[in-house]
Amino acid sequence: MRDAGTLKWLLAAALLGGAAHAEERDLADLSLAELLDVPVTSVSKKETRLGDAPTAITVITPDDLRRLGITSIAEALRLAPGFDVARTDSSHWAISARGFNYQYANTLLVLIDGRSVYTPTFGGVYWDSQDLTLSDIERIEVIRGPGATLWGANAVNGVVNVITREAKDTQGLMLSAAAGNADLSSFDARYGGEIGSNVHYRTYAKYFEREGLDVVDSGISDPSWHSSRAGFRADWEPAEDKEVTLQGDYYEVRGPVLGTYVTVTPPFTAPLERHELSTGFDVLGRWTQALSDVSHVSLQAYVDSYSRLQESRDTADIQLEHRFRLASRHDVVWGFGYRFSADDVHLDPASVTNPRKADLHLYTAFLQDEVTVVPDRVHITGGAKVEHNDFTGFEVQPSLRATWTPVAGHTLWGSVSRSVSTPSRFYHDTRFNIAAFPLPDGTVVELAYVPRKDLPSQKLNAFEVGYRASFDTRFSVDLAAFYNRYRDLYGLVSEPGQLELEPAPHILLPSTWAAVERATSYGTELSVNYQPRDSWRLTGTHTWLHMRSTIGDTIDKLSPENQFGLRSYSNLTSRLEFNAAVYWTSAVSALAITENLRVPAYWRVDAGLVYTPLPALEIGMWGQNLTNRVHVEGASQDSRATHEISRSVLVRVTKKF
Amino acid sequence: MTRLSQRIQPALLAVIFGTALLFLEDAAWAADVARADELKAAYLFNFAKLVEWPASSLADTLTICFVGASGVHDAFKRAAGDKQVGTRRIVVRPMAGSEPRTGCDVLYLDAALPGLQLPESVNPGTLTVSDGAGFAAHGGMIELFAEGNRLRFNINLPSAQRAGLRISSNLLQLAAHIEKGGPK
Repeated sequence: MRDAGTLKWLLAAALLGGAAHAEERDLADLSLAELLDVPVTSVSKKETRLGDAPTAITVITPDDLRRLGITSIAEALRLAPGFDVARTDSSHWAISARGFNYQYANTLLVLIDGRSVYTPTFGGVYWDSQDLTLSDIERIEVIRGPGATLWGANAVNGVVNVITREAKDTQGLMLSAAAGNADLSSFDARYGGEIGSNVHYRTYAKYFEREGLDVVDSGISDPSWHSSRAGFRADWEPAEDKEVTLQGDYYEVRGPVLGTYVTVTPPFTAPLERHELSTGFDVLGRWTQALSDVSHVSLQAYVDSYSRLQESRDTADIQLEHRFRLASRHDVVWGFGYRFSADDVHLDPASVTNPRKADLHLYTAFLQDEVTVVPDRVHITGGAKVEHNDFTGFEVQPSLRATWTPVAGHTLWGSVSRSVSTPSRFYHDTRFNIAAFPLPDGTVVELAYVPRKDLPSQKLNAFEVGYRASFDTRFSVDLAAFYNRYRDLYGLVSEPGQLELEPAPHILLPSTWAAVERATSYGTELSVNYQPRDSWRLTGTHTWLHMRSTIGDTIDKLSPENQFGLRSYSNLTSRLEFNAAVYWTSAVSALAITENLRVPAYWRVDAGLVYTPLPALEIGMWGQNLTNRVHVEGASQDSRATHEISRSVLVRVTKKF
Repeated sequence: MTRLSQRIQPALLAVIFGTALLFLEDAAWAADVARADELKAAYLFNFAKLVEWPASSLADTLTICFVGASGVHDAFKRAAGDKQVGTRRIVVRPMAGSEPRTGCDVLYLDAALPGLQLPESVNPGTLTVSDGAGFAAHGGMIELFAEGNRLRFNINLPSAQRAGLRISSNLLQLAAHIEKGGPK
């Protein structure tokens, strides 16, 4: 009996041992055709040449997303220095760069494959409806600082450019399933194929259910929310010098809407509890033609239509861009475009946007020239974007940038630019009630923001410098520093009280907006990459921000003064990776509905293992927020409830065929 | 044995057998997951075999220089350091970043090199290879890149032709992309 038992174990051990050391043929004996089939994972993903870009730019790669078990674009932005990412409730995030962060922050421009996902209603992004099959992402370019010259107004503090892979790079069938206690379940399927030799396409479908966050100190948990989406991309190369792309998506997001709005009858707030269905679709086409060896032109058009609780919006956008080299020293790009956006804004039952429906027209033109002053050493880039919008008319946003590479591997850059943030439908057209309460004699008083039609845009003059260096092949540093001066920031001004009779008599105490405030901010963003050996890479980031405005602490402390991040990617064996990320964020005073919420400093530790038993099979397991049972990151602007994020685990299996 | 370990035992065995089966299936493919450097070294060896150098530069030896890329250099030396390409004996030479790159038949450039030199400054008769992104588009002759978890390569044909090198059609056929234009 005992001998049989031992034999069983010995046999198993032998099998396992034997299999693990299965025939390892000398790679040098393989033919080239056989080599093409050999799979490999390497921790050093070589970056594209960022060395000479005169901006503070970080590239988040699909390798970062895959290794750390990141499940959304919003969460991916934590990896970029200078970015402040705070999850405010189950399906909302407050994301900004270089200050002014709150749930409806309006300082970032976000583009997905050239399609702008910013809404003129409040000037920001609805993060819950921005998603894609993350493994189809080629890279996410995260730029801090004004990107106004190339991307236009409202790219005041940063630009996030999500670029997906070409269809020919996502061929075959990919299935992925994940489960956890926060990302409850998710399924991703993608199939890519080709038609003939010069048309490649892919289609995808994705579903996830995410758990609602808990409300602090209450034992109440928000209900979960679901998202389903599907889409396609097709790339066609009719000739050597032409490329055509067509892509589209459709999505449905169902989630609870938990908020409150103000009423003038007791109890003076009413709950907004509905199950919201947000739906949307977009179609984008782009045609690129090389006119010569050194010149190419590109025409892009898209339509984007969505409908959600706060608004519905239909957008059509067309842009032409021409890029060419002139006299071997000038790299010129210029273009113009037009965007039409029709909306219907209805923020909550008590707020009034007048006009409720608006048609917005935006005309843009830009020109930029990168001049090679000394080849491989000094480049100067100058440009401007001119826009005409329906709120403030013409806006000009110029910028001047320079790069100097004194020694190979070390680059210094500097820039001066002007950028604007135009008023949104909220500031221009919306009356928004803040609170109502009864006076001792029974009179009801209501506080509200009232809109102001003649607001100019908020302005930024930004001065930046940076230094990028690689020391031998294993160590690189990227440092950026900035000094921002904001003018014409919107502050609140009290207006005389007035009697209102609807829906019940009350005194209205309005505050309106005035472009009278100013702010100054400065800070640094540092990113260090160190690769002690081929199989281990460390990346450290640090962000420092100092903000002073004439508005005061309500605004100055919205973003943390210090942030620190460290991540470690290591290939323990050729099949097993261990990846970990640590983040620390200093305290903030988060913008909430009536008064700011103090959010203490917090640590966040994520760690996981990724195991690749077969070349086409990947199994990942992560723990997130490992060090805290719960922590709070920001305040919700929709409800008076503060949500906390808890420890979570996630397991994901991905198979390619 | 206790009752608990009696319960666990079959389950554990099943897991071990299952895992072993996975490995066996993998071995049957004869495709083990390789370290990237060994794979790049193997590619480099094949490139050397499928490229013809101009008759004027033929010698007894084929010199392969590495600038940076110590991992690929070590793997190449292990795998092919004592082998031959045709009648030429392979000589492996590691180089410092600032050394002039003369006397190299093949030059392997580490992508992470500061200020990756464009091949304009390299001598004719030298095959340039790198894993830097955009190497072929900028005039490098062979660029290695990862697509998913496979290693592929692009070739810049005019650059090779200008250096007097002839690339075998066997190599051209297997390239993912062949640049036809000159350096941009």
